[in-house]
Amino acid sequence: MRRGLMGWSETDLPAAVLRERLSLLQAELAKAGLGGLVLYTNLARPAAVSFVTGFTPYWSEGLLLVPASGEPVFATALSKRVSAWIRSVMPIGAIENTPRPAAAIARRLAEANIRKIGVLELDLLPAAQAALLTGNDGAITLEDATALFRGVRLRADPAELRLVRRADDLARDCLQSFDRTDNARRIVADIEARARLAGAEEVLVGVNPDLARSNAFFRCDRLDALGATFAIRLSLALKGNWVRRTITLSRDLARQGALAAADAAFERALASAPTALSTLRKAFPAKIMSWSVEACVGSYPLEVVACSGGTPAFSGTLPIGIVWAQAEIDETPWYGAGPVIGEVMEIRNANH
Amino acid sequence: MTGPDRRPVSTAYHARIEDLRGGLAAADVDRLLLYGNNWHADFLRYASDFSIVEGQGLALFERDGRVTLLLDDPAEAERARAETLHEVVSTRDLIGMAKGLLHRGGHGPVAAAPYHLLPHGLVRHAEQLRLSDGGALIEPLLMGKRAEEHVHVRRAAAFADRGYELFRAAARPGRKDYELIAEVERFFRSEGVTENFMIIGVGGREVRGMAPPSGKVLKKGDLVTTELTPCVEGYYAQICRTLVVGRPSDLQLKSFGVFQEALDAGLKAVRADVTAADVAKAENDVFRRYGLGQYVTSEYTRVRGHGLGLFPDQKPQLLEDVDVPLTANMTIIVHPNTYHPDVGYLVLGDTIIVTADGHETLSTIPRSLMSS
Repeated sequence: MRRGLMGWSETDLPAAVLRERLSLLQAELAKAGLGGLVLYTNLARPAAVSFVTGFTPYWSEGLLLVPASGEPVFATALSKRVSAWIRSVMPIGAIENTPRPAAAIARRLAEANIRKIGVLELDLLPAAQAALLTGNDGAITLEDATALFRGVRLRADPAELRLVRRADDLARDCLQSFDRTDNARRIVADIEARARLAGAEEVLVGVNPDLARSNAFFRCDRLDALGATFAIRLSLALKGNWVRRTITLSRDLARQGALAAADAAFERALASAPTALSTLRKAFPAKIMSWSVEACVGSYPLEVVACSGGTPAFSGTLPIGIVWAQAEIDETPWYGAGPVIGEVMEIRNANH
Repeated sequence: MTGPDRRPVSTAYHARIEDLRGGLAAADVDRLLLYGNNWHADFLRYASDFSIVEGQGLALFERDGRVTLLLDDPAEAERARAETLHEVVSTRDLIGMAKGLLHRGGHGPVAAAPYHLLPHGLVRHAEQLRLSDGGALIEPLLMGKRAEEHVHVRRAAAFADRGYELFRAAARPGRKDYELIAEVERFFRSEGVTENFMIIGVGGREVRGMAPPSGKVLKKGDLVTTELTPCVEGYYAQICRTLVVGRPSDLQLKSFGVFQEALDAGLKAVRADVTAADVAKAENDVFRRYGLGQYVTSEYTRVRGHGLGLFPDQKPQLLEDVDVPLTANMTIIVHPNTYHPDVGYLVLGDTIIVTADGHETLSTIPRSLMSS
């Protein structure tokens, strides 16, 4: 549940930028012969609506209709009394508060005599929304428009790059500023509080407390003492823009030099975009055991778009991506993750 | 890797599984498919004891108690493997994987819930997959509570009280609304509390409700409202309180008196076998007596309380048109929160356990209009 600072400002995200994103989408809709595009939003999948309007729900769900021409309409199950709050954080589009958002969108489509629309990630749309969206007599045809949306989404504008860089600056600051001798819960608490005090909208901190025991990053309820070598995974959102960083730390002085060298090599690889992945594989001081790239290409804030040994989900260039890697240094795992921002990272031959 | 950080299965989960298996047997259904995400984590958590943070997931619960978890975020899948004994599948193709799993598991009917949130890609093949709405099977279990579940709700309520004390201490002139929440979250994480639903209102008559923090700076005389809802082992408890930055005015105290009276009336109405509507009416009648009837309509307020459990806004909603009977052991919050035209938005509410002849209050913070 979002409970960090949520606010829109013209300085951070100019309305003109949102208008430009909207007009790019509308141009694609016209080309595709679609009367509109529907984007779904909830806590887990807020990114597409946030990209077009700046709005992220703290709770509940909603649908944004981007008509092929004209103003978008946001229909949401959030109650009418929070309409003024929505207006304060969503500078474009009309708002309709209704327990049945898809029915409201279907009504508007019928009024505009629109019979065919695109839906981002159609198969993932909640069943009740999909049923209502087709209209009373099933007169509205729904078509998957994931590729159409992705074509527009993958053009990062300066406003997005600025916000992601700010989010990353904050993430790095939070990961440098805690007491490394503390217990795991205190570390999580301090990192999260620092991010929230600096205005983060959402903060997720996971800790792998002992790299000799598990691959998993746990939440605070499963954490207590730390092992000799541990890792922290920080995911952080600033005005709808997400970054993730993972660092590996050791309390064993003898290991710290090797970890520092690995961290430096990882940062050099990130800085070598567009060839970050191949640089990582060639120049890292230990064997990379696995890697992945996450990006925001649809409704998820971040999703894996390419990974070692996995099914290639994406091939092309990414303006913003999070590179994650796992290596083994002196028989102990090392984890690192960080963003490549604005350097157009090439994702090819994902099946390494 | 060896020795994942698995804890013993909780007694609450054991109790839930026993009830769920009984429910499936009574309905003559072999399998139950449950959907979850970070907003609606409750159905999936009930059957799997896994709370999803990122992405989406499905849990297939079988009558013999076996669970298969399908998760579309690889890091979440890794955590689920370490935290549970279930079979865990990490997949980008949640729908394709679920279809395969259902096909492989036989031809019997599959109940699914919450059906309205299930992916369209599954429900449009409902006939072929023999999927039907399983809400009636699991929702009563989510609403009712076993003593084993009360243990966690009680702990969550104690954290809500401690969190509120911290919130109150942090509410000083010059501080920003999100800084107060940051302090509360720091405390919760350091105590192992993973989640918290929390909204806030700061100001006077212009404030019509609560929302996430927007950067408002607290000043003397402001009303500061909050709904604070920490989570322990998946179970939420809530407290709603209002404070004034500085000393409350006579008008603020007088207005708040209506809310104290309404909460008292609502709590007095609670016992097993009354309906949610009876409790809402008892609260709302107080406002109507003071000529404030319009402020208990949907124009100004959402609900007059609600269930609490694995979801912070569980059924039954306390509204005058909800005829769901309260049953002993339900955990609910009664909160007559709404706008008061003289001073602004006010909140007051306590988590309780419904008993045969009344209720047990879990919140211990005084029900007064407080000063920061």
